[in-house]
Amino acid sequence: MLRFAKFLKKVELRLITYRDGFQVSVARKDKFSDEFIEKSAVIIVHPDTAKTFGFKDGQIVKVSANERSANLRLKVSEIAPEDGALMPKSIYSCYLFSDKITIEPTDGEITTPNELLEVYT
Amino acid sequence: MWVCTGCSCLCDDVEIEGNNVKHACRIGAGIILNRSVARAEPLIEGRKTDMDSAIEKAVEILKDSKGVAIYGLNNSTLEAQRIAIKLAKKLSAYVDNGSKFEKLAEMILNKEIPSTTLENVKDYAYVIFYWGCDVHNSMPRHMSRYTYYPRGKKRQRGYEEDRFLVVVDVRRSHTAMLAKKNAVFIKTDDDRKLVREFVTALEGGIASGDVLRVVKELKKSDFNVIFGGEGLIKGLGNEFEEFVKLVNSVGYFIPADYRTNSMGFFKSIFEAGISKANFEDLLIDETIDTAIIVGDDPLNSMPFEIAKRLVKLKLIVIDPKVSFTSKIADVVIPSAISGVECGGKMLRSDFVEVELKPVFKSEWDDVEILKSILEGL
Amino acid sequence: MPSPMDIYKLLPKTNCKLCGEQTCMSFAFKLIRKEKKLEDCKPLFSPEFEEQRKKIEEMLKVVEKATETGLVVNEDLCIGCGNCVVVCPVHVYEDPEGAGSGFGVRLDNPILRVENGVVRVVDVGLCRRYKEKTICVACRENCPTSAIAFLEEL
Repeated sequence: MLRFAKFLKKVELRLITYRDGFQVSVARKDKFSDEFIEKSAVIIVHPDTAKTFGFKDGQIVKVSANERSANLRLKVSEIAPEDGALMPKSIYSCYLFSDKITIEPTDGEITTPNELLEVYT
Repeated sequence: MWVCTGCSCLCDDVEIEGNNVKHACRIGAGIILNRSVARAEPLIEGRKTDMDSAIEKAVEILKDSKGVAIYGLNNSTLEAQRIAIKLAKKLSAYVDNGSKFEKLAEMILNKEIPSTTLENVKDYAYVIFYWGCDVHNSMPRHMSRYTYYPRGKKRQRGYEEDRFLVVVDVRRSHTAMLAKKNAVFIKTDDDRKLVREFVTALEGGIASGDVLRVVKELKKSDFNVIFGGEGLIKGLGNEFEEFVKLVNSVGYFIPADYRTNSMGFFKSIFEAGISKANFEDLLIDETIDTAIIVGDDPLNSMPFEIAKRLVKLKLIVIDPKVSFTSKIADVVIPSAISGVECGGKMLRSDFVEVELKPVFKSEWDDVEILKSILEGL
Repeated sequence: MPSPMDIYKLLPKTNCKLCGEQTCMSFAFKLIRKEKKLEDCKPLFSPEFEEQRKKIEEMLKVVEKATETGLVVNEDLCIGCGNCVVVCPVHVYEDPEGAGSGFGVRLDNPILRVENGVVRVVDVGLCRRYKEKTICVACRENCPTSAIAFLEEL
């Protein structure tokens, strides 16, 4: 299944962001913690979208927009719009900010905020 | 009783007993429980220094600057906001809190759109709209403390009989999931069209089934309220004429701006006779060469293409905690957490003034820091 | 919270009936509802199933935490909104000025109270499910993040 997923072409979706209460709570605690990454480096898709494109809850995906990309954890939930992807507002969603993003499976590790900060500076 | 500064609900019923915080939500309790984690230190160009030197350096930068913006201030008290405005006047600086609620706040203060208090909502409101806001996440106690769930004077029979909930959003948010019995969730990608549909239906015209059902409920009471969030403002594209018409026939409007003292910021600048700038535009147009960031983290909230321009500016960050923006700042000045380590007043999302009840004491807070910078100039 | 299917997958799946149930699936159901004990499945305690048994024991820890009314709270999923505290019919009746009016619950021993940002079961003794055996799901119904569950619904 994973092998098959790897051959899937990139999936293009529109991106919506939202304020996630759990993320806000850890962001206010410590933005340089593992908890912050766990709650922020996340992209959520609707169960129907996941089914159509063969995405699995918890898998790591490479999300790209405007020639930038980051590896995020994919989650499957009904809070995502049927025709798009949802991200909690954070440095990750700011980094990838765009109307359209592409998602593809990856073997990479989840991107850290320090890696993103390097691109800014 | 502690007043929580986690969001603009400013819940005033929180009890603190040792390490046990009762009744505050996850965001609010965390402010107290995690207050000593990731605290900022005074820094000049990334190197440790003392408070006086950091403030001196900030003054020096400001004296040499050709264009300054003050950004943030949503977690600052009214007292601190007023000093920031004095500082802005002295420096001819721009001010922005990053909120998009400016126009609606101005209309409420000028009584161009009917608004009310959360206590009145609790006691009298029947139909409650959440339009373009996921309050379950952004202001977790909003519905249980003030609107849909509590019983009030004229609303004694509880949410199942005495309230009607309407959630409007582009997606099925956690708030939308609460729209069950006596409730409707309207999914829309076109807020302007939906506003027009409601106005038409209220005038007796044709509309979709869900809209007609809500209109029927609206007619049962003369006290109904719309809570509008950033999604609504974005959807309306800053054109409020039709929406004001709708609010006038529905009853009242209250902003669902989660930023803790955002309404305080708006009231403070309007009283001072200055208008809000748009920080993002200032960065795009390269109008400024220096920014003072107070209790905010634009790298965690602004699109990359705009935020990366911050690197080119002289940045002075005033914040209780280490932030992404503090990592690229020229000067970092650690401050107190408002409501926890310093007192003062803030405005709730419905413009009701609330006195904070700090439980710790700090030598330096936003007021002292901004005052020292002002005096240094 | 484990589902009966999660448990079933780890059972011997022989439908040996030694536990008194007709099928392993029905045993899994009753295990979650605390109507059967893990020890009732004799084959599971043989060395060949040791690894699977340990996994089931791990899963059942959540079930053990469930109160006498079958109420289970998963704190990791709770945002502390207090909807459950305010809608609880017993709280409304016993504490109309506090929880019933949206404030933090003022009872010394309420059923539920938000502490350190998450809901905690303080005393199920007052719960309608406990005293009157009523099937009341008000708290669970108004939790959109599924932090509250009842065993019999799983």
